[in-house]
Amino acid sequence: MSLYSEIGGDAAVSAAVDIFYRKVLQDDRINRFFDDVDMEKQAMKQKAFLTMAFGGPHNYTGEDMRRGHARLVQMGLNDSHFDAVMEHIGATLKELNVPDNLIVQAAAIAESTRNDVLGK
Amino acid sequence: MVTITFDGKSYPGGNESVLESLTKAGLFIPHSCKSGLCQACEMRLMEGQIPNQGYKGLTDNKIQANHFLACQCIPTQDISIATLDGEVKNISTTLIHRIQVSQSIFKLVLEPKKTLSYCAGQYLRVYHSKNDFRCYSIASNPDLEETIELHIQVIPSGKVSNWLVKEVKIGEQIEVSEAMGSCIYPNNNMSPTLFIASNSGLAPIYGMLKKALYQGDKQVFHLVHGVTSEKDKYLTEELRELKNAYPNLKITWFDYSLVETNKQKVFIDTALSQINSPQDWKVYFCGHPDMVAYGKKQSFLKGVSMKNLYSDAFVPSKVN
Repeated sequence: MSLYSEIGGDAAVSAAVDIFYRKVLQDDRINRFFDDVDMEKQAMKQKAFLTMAFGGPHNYTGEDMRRGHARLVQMGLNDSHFDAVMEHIGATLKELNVPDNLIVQAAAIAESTRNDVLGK
Repeated sequence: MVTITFDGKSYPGGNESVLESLTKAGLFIPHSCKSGLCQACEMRLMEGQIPNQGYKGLTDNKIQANHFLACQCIPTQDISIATLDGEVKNISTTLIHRIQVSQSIFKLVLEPKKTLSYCAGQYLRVYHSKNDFRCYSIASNPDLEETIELHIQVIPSGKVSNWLVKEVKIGEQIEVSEAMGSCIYPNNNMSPTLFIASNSGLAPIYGMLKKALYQGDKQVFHLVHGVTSEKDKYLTEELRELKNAYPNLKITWFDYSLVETNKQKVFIDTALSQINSPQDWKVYFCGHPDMVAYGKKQSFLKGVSMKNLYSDAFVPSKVN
């Protein structure tokens, strides 16, 4: 069974997006990077990212990650912000009662995008 | 092999996604994940039918409004498509009725020359001339009304609004587009629903309210209508009649002029105080872009699910 289906597939990601997005909007360390006028579009981007982190189907390349976050890097996006996002991903999965061993796996996938997201 | 018609030109397609076909032809269609998740490549189907996969992950409202995802759609027959703010089909209408309903708003009724299909809450373009149009929301109920009711907020230096309320004569032709937008009220809804409107944002909400109540939806509906001042209130009689006929409708009026500071916050707090179990509610916002943006964010933080938030921001024209 894949990580994605163990976590709960598309339904789990949809539930996770609401929880995760609320957390980042209320976190003054990082909310300026997420404070999009178009909340639906922003939520969809997060859904795509979380789907990937949960081991789900995606076609993102490292290059896509770099391009997609270049504007945020210009705004000052750095490791401390990435750490904050990692914190919220973990807390979101905890809230959804995902077992710790699966959270570790999802965190490792998200962590693997760090250099591309930060344009390093 | 099928033909994809886009922006007046034909492109070969089939055996690959619409996004791939158009990209190969040298066009740039905004996209990102290519997995049907980010919805950056959302487009609108104008003619033809597509396989269900093309609608993957879209809300029922968007599907009803003929939106689809270019990265997920592998067409099996000829289709005609457009970007969400792109090409549209136009329809000729006749202005059959016009009346001033508040100090700043006129109600206009248009009779289309041929059937204009629309969903409750959608908007259309009204053309002043070929390339000069403004968007107005439809206040009619598609289940019962074939004529199109619009609420025109008169902008002091606004070219199109002044033309519509002062120059066009009853019986004259007005060119409009087909209906657009996905802030709509569906055929089936069981959730309690809060409608938040500022000024002429009441137009699409009036259309949606009529649809909801006349089709027999029994859950609780709250309408909160914010107006700049008492003199901007309108449709009050019609709304009171609706409320008398349907006890599940509650209406709150809000007068912005009575609030000194933090007007948007006080308005949204008033509106959201109507709901106590936010995860169960649908919330619609129509009107001023600041109200819509602020209200959506506060509702979401209060616990309303993202998929239950619908909005139509009335962005003012910059070309006057």
